[in-house]
Formats: sequence, structure tokens, C-alpha cells
Amino acid sequence: MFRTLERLLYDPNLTNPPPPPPPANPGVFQIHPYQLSQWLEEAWTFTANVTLPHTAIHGQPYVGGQEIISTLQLPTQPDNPFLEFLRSGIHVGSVAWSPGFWNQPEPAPGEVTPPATLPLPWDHLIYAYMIESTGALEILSEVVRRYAVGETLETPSFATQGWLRSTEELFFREPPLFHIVGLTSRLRPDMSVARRNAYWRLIGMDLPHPAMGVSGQPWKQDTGVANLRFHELWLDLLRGVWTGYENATNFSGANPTDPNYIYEICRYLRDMLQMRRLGGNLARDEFVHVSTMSWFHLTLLSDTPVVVDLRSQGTDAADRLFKLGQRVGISPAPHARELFEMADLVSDFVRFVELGYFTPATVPTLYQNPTQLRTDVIRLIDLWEMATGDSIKADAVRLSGQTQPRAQHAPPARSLAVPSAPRPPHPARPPRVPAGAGHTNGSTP
Amino acid sequence: MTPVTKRTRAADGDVPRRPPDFEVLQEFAGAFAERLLPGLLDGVSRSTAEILETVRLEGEASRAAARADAREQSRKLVESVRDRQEEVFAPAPGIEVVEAFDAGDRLAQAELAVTYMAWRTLLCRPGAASIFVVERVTEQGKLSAEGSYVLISSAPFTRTHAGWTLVASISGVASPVHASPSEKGLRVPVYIPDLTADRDLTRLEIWDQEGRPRFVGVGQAFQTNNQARPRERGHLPERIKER
Repeated sequence: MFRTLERLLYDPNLTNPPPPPPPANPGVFQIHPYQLSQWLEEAWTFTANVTLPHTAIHGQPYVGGQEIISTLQLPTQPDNPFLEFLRSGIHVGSVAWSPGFWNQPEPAPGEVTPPATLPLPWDHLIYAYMIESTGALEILSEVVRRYAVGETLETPSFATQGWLRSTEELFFREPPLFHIVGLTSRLRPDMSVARRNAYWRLIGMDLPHPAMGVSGQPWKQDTGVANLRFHELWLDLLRGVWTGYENATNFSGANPTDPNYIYEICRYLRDMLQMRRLGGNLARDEFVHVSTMSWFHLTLLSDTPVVVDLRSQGTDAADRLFKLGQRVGISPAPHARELFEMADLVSDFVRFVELGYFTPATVPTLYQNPTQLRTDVIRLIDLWEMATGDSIKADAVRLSGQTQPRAQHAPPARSLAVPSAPRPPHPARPPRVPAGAGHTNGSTP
Repeated sequence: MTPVTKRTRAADGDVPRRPPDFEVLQEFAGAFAERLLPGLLDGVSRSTAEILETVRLEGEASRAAARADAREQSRKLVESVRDRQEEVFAPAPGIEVVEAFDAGDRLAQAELAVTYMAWRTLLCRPGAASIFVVERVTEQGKLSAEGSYVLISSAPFTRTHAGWTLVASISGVASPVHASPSEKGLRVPVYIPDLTADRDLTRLEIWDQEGRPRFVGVGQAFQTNNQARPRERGHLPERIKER
């Protein structure tokens, strides 16, 4: 969400073809945390405007229940608090933050609700899982703690002071009362446990690193049904798409592509994910966790003030995280770079699978037609194999007549690469290719 | 061993043998021959010609039938060979699957691709924008949730190109409606057929001159609730009213 807000500050309609270059100090970090907190409340309400997907469900397509937004949002009738005392005051469209309001005319009563022109979708929960798997939260929280308790790090700049205050206020203190981000309570006091609980329930996977200060695995208690087959089916889906991509240009001979099987997996995954969202379950959790991780992701996307102050400039988010980790004595995930680059791709793809976009007619879009969707999915396969070691492409090169037992697949609910655990031997590790480069294996139509 | 010839006697009651009267026989044979032989010879010669003619006709008929059978067999053989040839030269199953998609399927694939691009745009992914912001207005361009016109307020293009079409999905209308964007500029209201005051705009796309969806509309035009509003005003089903 904060990455979206950062873009909205510069491009309020998101229609400028060339995206603006990342600023040295993102405008979001210059906004008061109270305003950001109110903006999150507004953004939750704006979700009702997401009418983009062409699905059978009109309205809020990706939050499960139709009524979850209006049920949890602040009432906007008879007076809209977002136009009065609860307005965030964030002026979209200004390069630098300035006092003001959403630059929207007040709608006539009963005509257009709520006061936003653009839908504000958020990423899938698996995005938060990917970002948290890098160790960014632990490292940056340690940075905040070091700055808060002593002077073991460099003197912060004023811009860094603003970031430190906003980070601590938004994510490391009790949330404001009656706020949409107030997930924790005496019943579930630990936010990290709440996040792991959401990951476990929706995608059936644990984070690769242990939870600090938590004994056991309380996030798995009393969960009832969890999507433990997600990982297994996910790998099957990626393998099926890769097989289709490899044979997309076959004009003679056998073609092992099985679009019906791919569709069947998509349907299974869709049902599995939507079952966990019945009644609007996990919608609020996803919103909060994705917003949290987008803040830390945005911090690492460029040489922001805190990165510069700690002399951790780098070429990508993983490099900066690695250097920041060295300053505070925490090592990030060894495949943090792949996880950062994969986060957006896997979020979009899983969201589309969950929404049921893939039908027998549209499945070939994943591997047949040269579209952005195919480019993203193929790159996702590369990155997933590099990051996790899961064998995706090797299955397509098995001997003719050799059976492929399902038990060969990775066990369900396997976590991402754990630094301390021995990694399984990788049969054919593909070489790292720069972003946008063409693939050397498979078809290149 | 010498073969034994066994003589038998005539049984009692046999007719006693007498010598034949050769003169009578010769006279009878002569008269018979004089009377019948020319006719017999004539009949034999005639029947021989008929037989020959019959045989000739039968032979020709048999050869014609054989030729007809051969032609029929040949035709069947050629046809069967042609069938096999078509089967052999048929494209691979994988290609058949791809080409089996009709125009509707291909449109669905194109819509999925452009929807994905629009989703990426809304999540601020890098790359060209695939959305345009659209407002629902009156003919005069005034903002109205019940207007029958739309107005493109922001877009990644400065003008629409020749052949571009606005394709709108409207609640309560079975098939999408088409409208031509104004050539005078983006900020000119465009009339959308069937977009009445009691209906909502659910999707709006811009198709290029080849009929491929290129951009997806987002924004205020889709944030109406016209179809559900009459129920809120008291137009409830009868069974609910009775309560």
C-alpha cells in the first residue's frame, strides 16, 4: 500500500507512461505517521471501488465476502468522516508532501461513493510472506531499536529521524483504538505470530527463520483447516506452465502440454484460497500485513536516508539489506534478491489464480502468447527455482516412458530456503540472468 | 497271377435273340437322313451363330461388369488412400488445441492479458500504463451517476486513434455495447447506448482497430449503485413487504 501511495504522490492517475524515477527520500517517509495511519483507514474504504476484475463477483473481488469492507469500515453516512475530522490530509499528486486533502470533489449524497476515483488494490498475502522471508523486518526493526536505545549506529539525519519515528509508531507500538490496523489484542498480542498464522492458514507455509522470542509454533494452534496442499499444487502449476512454455512452438511430434491439467490445478487452488476467505476471513489481516511489508520494502527499494546514513547503498534491495544486516549483526536470507524480485510477480499471479481468471480458454495465455503475463510467470518460475531449490524445469526432461510419481514432489507446507538447514541437491541450477534478458532454455518465440 | 474270366449264362426268361433286318433299317435310315439332315444341318449352323453371338454378348457384359467393378474398387481404394493421406498430414494435436479456440476464446485471452496489465498498473508495477480514468457524466459533461455519457479524464494516450472503439459492459444488458470515442479529444462526453439511469457500468475497454482490447477503464464511472438503489427506496419484494 505504501508503495502505491508513493506512486500516487507523483502520478495521481497512474497513467503516466514513463514511471517517475525513485526519489532519494520517498515522499511517504515525509508524511506524519498519524496521517499515514488515517490514510490506511481511508484505503480500506476505497477498496470498495475495485471493480476492475472481469469476474462474476462485482465489487470487492479479492477480499472474500462482499460486505467485509462496509462491515469493518467507518460509517460514511450521514457525514463522511474522511472529509471531516478523520481526513488524512495527504494531497495526492504533489511531489513533496504538503497539507491538503484528497483532491476529490465531495460526491452528492447517494450518488458516488466513497470519495476516490482510483481503486486501491493491495498485494496478495504471499507478497508479505516473500518480503518477510528475506529477513527485512527483523533487520530494520533492529535498526530502529538500536537508534532508539543508544548510539551504536551513525548519527541519523533529520530525514532518518522522520523514518524512525514513523516506523516505530506505525509498526512497533500498539495500534490506535478502533483502527483497521489494530489486529493485536490481549487475545493475540504478538503481531509476528498473527502474520505467521495468516501465512499458515492461507498458503500453508512457514517463514524460513524462527520467530524471535516465541517458543513453539503458536500460530498453528486452533487454526482448523489450513491450505497445506498449496505448496504441492503450486509447484505442479509452475511445472505445467513450464512444460507448456517449452513446447509452445512445437509443430510436429508429441506435445506434453496439458492445458486441462493446468486448468484443473488453477481451479483447485482457486477453491482452496477462496475457502479460506469465506465471509471476509483474512481480508483485514492481509491488508495489514501487506501494508507493513510494503513499508519495509519501500525503505529498501532505493538509497533512502536511513540506508545512506548507515552507508548501506546498493544496487538492489537485497544488497542494501545485506549491508544493513551487517551493521546490526543479522544475516538476511541467502536468496533475498530472488525473494524481493519474486514478491510482485507471485502476488499478481496468485491473485489471478485466486480470482478464477484462468479457464480452459485462457490457460494458454500463460505459456502460448507473448504477453506480459507469460513473461512474468516464466520469470517467476526462474526465480522460484533459484530461491527455493524446488525442481520445476527438470521434470520436463525426464526419460520417455518413465513414470513421474507424485511423491517425488516436495512435501506440502515446506518452507523456503532455511539458511541453517541442508539444502537438497539441485539437479540443474540455471544460470542467473539479468532482469529482462531472454531465456536460453525452452522456446523463445 | 492269371486273371480269371467268369462266364455267365443268360437267366431263364430272357428274350431269345434273332438276327436284325438290316434292309429295313437301311431304308429307314436313308429316308430319315434325306428328310431331316438338311434341317438338322441348317439348325446346327444357326444355333452355332446364336451361341457364338450369345457368348460374345455375355463376354462383353462380363467384361463391362468387371471394368465397372474395377472402377468402383479403384474409386474406393483411391478414396481410402486419400483419407489416410489426410489423416497422416493432419497437424499435431497440440496445434489443433491452439487453433481450436474460436473468436470468443481468443477475445477472452486478450481480455485476460489486458486485465493483468491493468492490475499491474494499479499496483504500480513498472511498465506502460494500461488503464484510463473515466467519469460518468451527462451530455453537458456534468458529473452524474445516472448519466448516459462517459468522459475520459486521464489516459496514457493523448488522443484516440482511428478505429478505436469503446466497449462497455452494463449491468442488466446481456452483451457488451460499442461506442466510438470522439475525434475531438478525450474530454468530450461519449454516449454509451443502453446506459440508463437504473444501470451501472461494470467494465469499459478500448479496443484497437483490429478488435483487440488495449486499455481498461477505472474510476468514478464504475462507482455507482444504480441497480440496487430502487430496492433501497422501498421497492421490496412482496413477501418482504408483508412482514
